[in-house]
Formats: sequence, C-alpha cells, structure tokens
Amino acid sequence: MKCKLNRLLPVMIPVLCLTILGVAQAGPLKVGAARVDISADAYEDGNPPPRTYAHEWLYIRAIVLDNGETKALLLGADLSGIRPDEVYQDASAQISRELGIPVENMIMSGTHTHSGLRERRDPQKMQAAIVQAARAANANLQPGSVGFAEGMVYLNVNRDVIDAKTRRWTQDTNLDFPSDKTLAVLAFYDEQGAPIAGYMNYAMHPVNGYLSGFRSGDAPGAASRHVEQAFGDTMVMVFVQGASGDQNPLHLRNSTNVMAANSGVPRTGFEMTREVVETPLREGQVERRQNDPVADEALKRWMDAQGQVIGEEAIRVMSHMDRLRSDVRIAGRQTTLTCPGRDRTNADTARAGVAGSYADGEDAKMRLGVLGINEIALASINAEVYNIIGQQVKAASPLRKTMLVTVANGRATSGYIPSDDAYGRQTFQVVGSRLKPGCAQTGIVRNFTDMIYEQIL
Amino acid sequence: MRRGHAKRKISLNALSLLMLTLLGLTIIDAAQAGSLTVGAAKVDISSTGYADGKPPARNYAHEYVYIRAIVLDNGETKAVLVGADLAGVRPEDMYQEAAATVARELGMPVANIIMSPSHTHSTYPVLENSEQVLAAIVRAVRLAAADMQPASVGFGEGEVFLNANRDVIDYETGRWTQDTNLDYPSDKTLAVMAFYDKRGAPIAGYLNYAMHPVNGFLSGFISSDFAGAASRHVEQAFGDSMITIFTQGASGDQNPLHLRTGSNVMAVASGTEVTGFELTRETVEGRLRGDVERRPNDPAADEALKRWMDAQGQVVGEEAIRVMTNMGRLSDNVRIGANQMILTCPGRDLVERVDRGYPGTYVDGDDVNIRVGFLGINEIGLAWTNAENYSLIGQQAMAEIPLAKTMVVTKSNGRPNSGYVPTDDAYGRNTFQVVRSRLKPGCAHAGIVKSVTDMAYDYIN
Repeated sequence: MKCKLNRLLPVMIPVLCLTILGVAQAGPLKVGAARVDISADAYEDGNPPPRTYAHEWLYIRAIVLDNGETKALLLGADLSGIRPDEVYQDASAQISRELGIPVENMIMSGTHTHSGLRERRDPQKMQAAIVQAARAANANLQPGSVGFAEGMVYLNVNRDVIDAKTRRWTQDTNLDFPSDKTLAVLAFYDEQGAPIAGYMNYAMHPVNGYLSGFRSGDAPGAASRHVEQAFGDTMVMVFVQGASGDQNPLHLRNSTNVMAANSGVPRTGFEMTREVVETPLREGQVERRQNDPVADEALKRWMDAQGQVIGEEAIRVMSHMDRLRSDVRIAGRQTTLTCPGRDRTNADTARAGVAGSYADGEDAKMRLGVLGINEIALASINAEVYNIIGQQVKAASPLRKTMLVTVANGRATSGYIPSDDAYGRQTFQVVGSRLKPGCAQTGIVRNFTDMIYEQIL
Repeated sequence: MRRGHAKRKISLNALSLLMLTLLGLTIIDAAQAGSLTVGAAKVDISSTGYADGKPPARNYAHEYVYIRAIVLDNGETKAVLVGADLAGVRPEDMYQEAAATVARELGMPVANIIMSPSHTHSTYPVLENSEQVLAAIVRAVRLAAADMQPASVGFGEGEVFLNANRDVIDYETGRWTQDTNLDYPSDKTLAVMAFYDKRGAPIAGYLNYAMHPVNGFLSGFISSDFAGAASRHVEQAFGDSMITIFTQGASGDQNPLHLRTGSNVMAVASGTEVTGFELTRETVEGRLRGDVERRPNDPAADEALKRWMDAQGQVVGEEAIRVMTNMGRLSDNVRIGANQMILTCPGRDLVERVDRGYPGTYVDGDDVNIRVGFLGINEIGLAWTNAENYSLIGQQAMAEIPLAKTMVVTKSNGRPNSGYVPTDDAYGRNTFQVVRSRLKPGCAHAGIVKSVTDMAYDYIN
C-alpha cells in the first residue's frame, strides 16, 4: 500500500498508515529457529579433522517467523555467499513451496567468511542444507516477541588507502575513511523471556582465514557460537554482513602471519604489509609451504577473541532490549535495480593500484529487498556495498530500526558497489567493479527508501 | 578518543610557547642527552599466590603473575619502570623500601622510578604484602640492569573500546550504583611507549590504558586479568624476546564494558541463577561481598571468564602491536629528567559506614597526602600519581601538559591515604568511590593536574 505524503503531514500520515495497517494485518508472532552443521561439506572426504575452536564448525542457521497471516525466513550461512544465484533461486522456491513463505519475505545471506567451504562445493548439498534448516526452524515455531537495538563494536576499519611507500591505492588500514561501528541486533524471545534467536548485523570482511588453508566461520562464526553457547545452546544466532565492501578487520596481523608461514616470508612479530605477503600466495607465485601450527593457533585464537567481543556486545544489547512486540505485522518486497555495466579491458595488468580501462558491458543487476517486522526494517542486497552507502540507507530510512544485510539472496552481476566518490580510488574493489559510476549508490538508497515507505509504512 | 576533556589553559600564547619549548628542548638536549641503553626482564611470582607454592595446572597466559622491569640509562642518569601483576605495589612501606633499594643499587634518584601495578583484582590478598614481592621487584630490576643494550625509544597512541564509565544511577532503585554509563567520560586511548634494539626488534613496551581489571574479582582463582593477558600476548607475539608492562591510566571510574562472564562466576559462587544475559553486577556481587555462603566454582563459568580475559588481552595487545609497528620518530639520544612531590589536601572521615548509593556524613579528618610525579624521556612525558584518579582528571592532565606524547600512570609508587580521587563534579554521586573517598572536594582534582603540569614545564624548561 502506498501512503502519499503531503508536505504538511510527512510524519502524521506514516504513523496513521502504520496504525491502520498494524490493526489490519498484525497477528500473534510465532518464531522457530534451527541450526544445521555443514562442516563435513568443507572437506573432500567429508571427515573434518579434530577441531578446537567453535568457529571451526560451519553451520546454516534459520529463523522462521509466522504471524498467522504470513511467514518470513531469515537464513544465515557460514559461507562466503549463497551462490551461485541458482542455489538461492532454487532453495527459495522450494522453501516457498513447502513452507508457504513468500520469496520476498526471505533473506538468505552468507557471513562472507573467506575460509568456509572449499571452492568446488556441491550446490545441491548446499541447497539441501538450506532447506533442511528452514524446515527444522518451521517445525520449532513457538509464541515469541521481537525487539531491535544497536550496540557498537570497534573491530573494523576502512581498507581503501594509498600505500605510504608506492603511493598507489592498495588494501590496508585507513582510519580516516568511513567505517560504521554499529552492531545491530534483532532478537526474538519466548514467553518466559529466554532468547529463541538473534540476528546480528556488522560490517567487517571475514578475511582472517583467507588463504589460511583451514576451514573456519571466522569472527562471525565465533560470534554466533559465543552467543549460542552463552545461552546453553538453546537458541540460534545468525550473523549477517553490513555494508562491508570497504571494511576489513583492523587487526590482521595473525592472519598475515599464517600467509607468511605458507609463503616462506619471515615473521617479525610486528604487523606486516598484508598485500606484499598475500599477493604471491594468492597469485600462485610461490610454492605453498606447510602450515605452521603455532601461527594457525594464534590466528584461530584471535578469531575466537573477535567473536567474543562481538558476541558479548550482542548479549549486552539483548539484555537491555525494550519495547518487545508479540503482535506483529510482516511485509516483504523485492525489486531489481539495473545500472549501466562495464567490462575491464586491462585486467591482466594489475589487480589494483592502476587505472582500469573499460568497454561498455551488459547492464548490472542487483536484487534489493525489504522485510518489515513492525517498526523494524531489514533491507537486503545481493552484493558487497561500500560502507557509506549502508550508512546512507539507514539515514534515509524513516524507521530508526533499520539494518542493511548484504551478500543476501543470491549474487548480483555488479561485483563490488563502490560509492560514487570512491571511483577515483584504484583499489581492486573499484577497478574490478562492473558498475559504471553514477547509478548504484543513489539507486540503492532511493529504492530502499521507497520500498520502506511503500511496503512497510 | 578523549571525551569531555578540558581545553588547554596555558598562559603563553601558542607561538611563543612553541618557540620556547623547542628552544628549551634543544638547549637541554644538547647539554644532558646521551646515548640510550635499555634492559628489560620479568620475574614469575605465580607460585607465591598458593599456600603450598604449587600453582595448579593453568591454560591461559594470564594465570601466571609477573613482576616486570625496564631500566633506562643515557650515561648521565637512569630511570626504572616496574610493572606488577598486582592490585597495588603496596603497602607504602614496601614501596619505599623497594624504591630505596633500587635507587641505591643503580645509583639513581628515587624520583626516576615508577613502580606501578596493573591493578588486577584477582591476585590479592595472597600475592601482596609479602617479602617475596619486594624481592621479586629488586630481582627484576637487577636482571634488567644486567641486560642493557643500545636502544631507541618511541611513543604512539591507539584506541581500545573495551572500557566504560561506571558511575550511573540505577534505573530501578533510583540510586547511584556501579554499572555501565555510556554517557559519562571514558578515555579510549591506549598509549604505548616502546624501546627497540639496533635492528628494530622490540626490547620492551610500556602500555597505558584506563580500565579496572575487575573481571576476576571474587572469582576464587588467581589471574592477572586482561592486563596480564595483554602483556603476555605482546611478549609471545615477539617470541618472548621482549617484555611488556601494562600500566593503569586514570581508571577510578572505568570498568570493562562487558562484565557478564565475571558476574556469572560470582553468581555461581553465590547461588544466583545464571541466565545467559547480563546480570546486574551489584546485585550479584553484593550478595557475595555479604554473608552468603560461598559455593564451589563452576568450571564452565570459570573457563568462560578466563577465555574472555584472554580475548580482552588480545584486543589490547593487538592494538599495542599495531601502534608499535607504525611508530615514527624514534630517538636513541635521549634526555631523562624527573621530579616528584607530595600533594596535600584536606581530609574527611565517614561518621559511619553507609550502603552504596546513600550519601555519607563526614567529620574533618587527617590531611590526605598524594604522591605525584613526572618522568620525562625526551619529548615523552610520564605523569603519575599513587592514587586512583577519575578519568577526567587524567584527560585534563594530558590536555594541560605541553608534551603531546604524555600518558598518566596511576596507582604508582605507593599508596596514598586518599582512597579514590573523584573529579569535583562527581561529589554529588553516591557511588562507593565518592562516598568513601577521604578527600574533601575542591583540592585534589585541580591539584593533581596543576602539579604534574608544573613538573612537566619544569622538565622542559
């Protein structure tokens, strides 16, 4: 339903609409949650080695909501993404058919861990696990209430910077560029006040385990398990990515040390320039050596520490959450944003640090969605978005309780989505983006805002 | 990020101040600077915490307890920095004897010594007030002095977002209590002074952050808390080839933001239900401080707390290493200068003990004596007091002292008879720190800031 805004009544009318729609469509909330262990799929022989840290297990987690009128699904995976796009499409269609959940009411997202399943993963197994998690959550429905609140976590940092030595753009810490520290938490409680599920959103690339040679859910997986274990494994905690296209962990030293061990670079104890260590390993320019157990242990311990910091803040937020609602309205909508595309013609010259040259390419298509749960808006996009875009989406939303979930519902043909002001940066995200500047940033903000006004308010 | 700090109040105008400072530094450097040599060592005192001298099996680095020492020498004079995984280097007599012994043995002024604890709340009383601690301090200094090598020094700052102000009005009782207050002052700065050898490898680090190590308070096990975990994290990152001392900033009103796992251990010990959510710490802690019969520890709760201490230590340690990695402007020809004094303020005594959250009534008491000092190492300033100052006092001292590379080290060099040192504006709060402070308002806050600032100016000029 559209609420046409009158200049004189910009506030009153949305409130009125909310009230009317709330009365018309709200219903008693039921919530179910479940978790499926997919760790075995990460190993060729299906036999995970002995593991110590909780983040070494990989899961698909699902939360199903039902208000009697309609249903919604929030699904999170300890994966780089739910891709290829066909996996998302097939899984969402099957779940919709089996459980009666409209596809536009689903958000399926990856934590974006860079150390999850092996590259040649089986799409059918992944789809089966997704459906299994959704079924299990649906089978666990119980009366619940929902709330939303925000905390802060200071582990991330902008990663677009000019290298101090080469004076070229590279990927490293930039404390002066945008970085949103918000940890947004959506939580569901049972009638006794115990948590049924949580859904937390933070913008930080889980690249700690990139090229490490071992499997891990990284900081997001550690955070999810920390919260779940804090509540005696009686609830499910989904981690979703915020606008993290240009956001890395501030401290990557342990991770770089593992790369150094694998490529024969001497470790100093200090931070090392990650790109210098990573590039030869990534590009296969050095023969990969055996992992050093000491370096691996330090990295896994650091992943666990980051997970604890995120998890403790999530629990703090959940402990003080107020205005819980057990009578809720659920409304979802999706749209496709189409922007002019480009194809890089000099990709063989350098990954980053040089200007790209381009030819016109096919249009880039991005899947956008909004899911409203009363006064809470979950915006979703199937791409990696620069941080300032996410901040603008939240600032433009008429609902203060808004989060942007990225790497959700398949995979766009855009590559990274830089902000327009970032196109002068020759980082790999920008140079490799298939998007021409001038369309996606404003298009995303406008489309989300429009959908929230039209579908939720 | 320093929140709510005062603007500088310096009588000199900006230009003349800059010129005078540069001129002063240049002249004095030429006269007194010398080639820096540095030595560092640590002594394990873990076994002194156990009646039979046999620590149980331990899994985390912070379950070990150390005394650490860094000795500096520029050929003209020396300085000693001692850090202890203790609540305090106390009692006062022990500090005085240790300082006198070190000064005598190294042939240096007592004023050039800073002995400070991490202020961990989970090593006392068993690890304090002992001859072993005194002996360990002296031994650590001797070891460091025997290990001198040419070195350079630098200073940098990072940020750690683990602390929070702890003066707040309980929303249920309407009374002042100790709990998270995100709106009150809290300095997130992690200051790092580091010493490097001729090849650039670290010899020692000296960290300063303002957060009470109360995670393990009343836990029933011995730990150096996150502070010890941070020291060990940095040391182990460099293959145990260096030592790192953790010192407290102005943390009189600063707690860890997340105390859930610590409160859970208290809850187990006092028979309070653990829910998974944050518990109201004062409620849980109050029972345990009271007369409730202590129950056996739950290994799962203990493990969660120890793991959280380790995580906090890693966060502090990683930020310290990041700062040490990117530190610029190292100096190997340095000037060392120091001073200390006693600040005396009017005292008060509580007429009768009151519960937390209630105002106290007082009679005039003995004057309060607070030891304050300043140690300069080239352009680096270490301002210190032997008390627990509120955060804003530390922030104001750093804003007033003309050296940008300044840290405020609290709990250093003995123990005053003041109790906590609140800011003057905090005297309306009925928190236990304020109510039990022996200081009348209106003296210590401004007095500390002025004293260390005066000494910094004296050092420069």
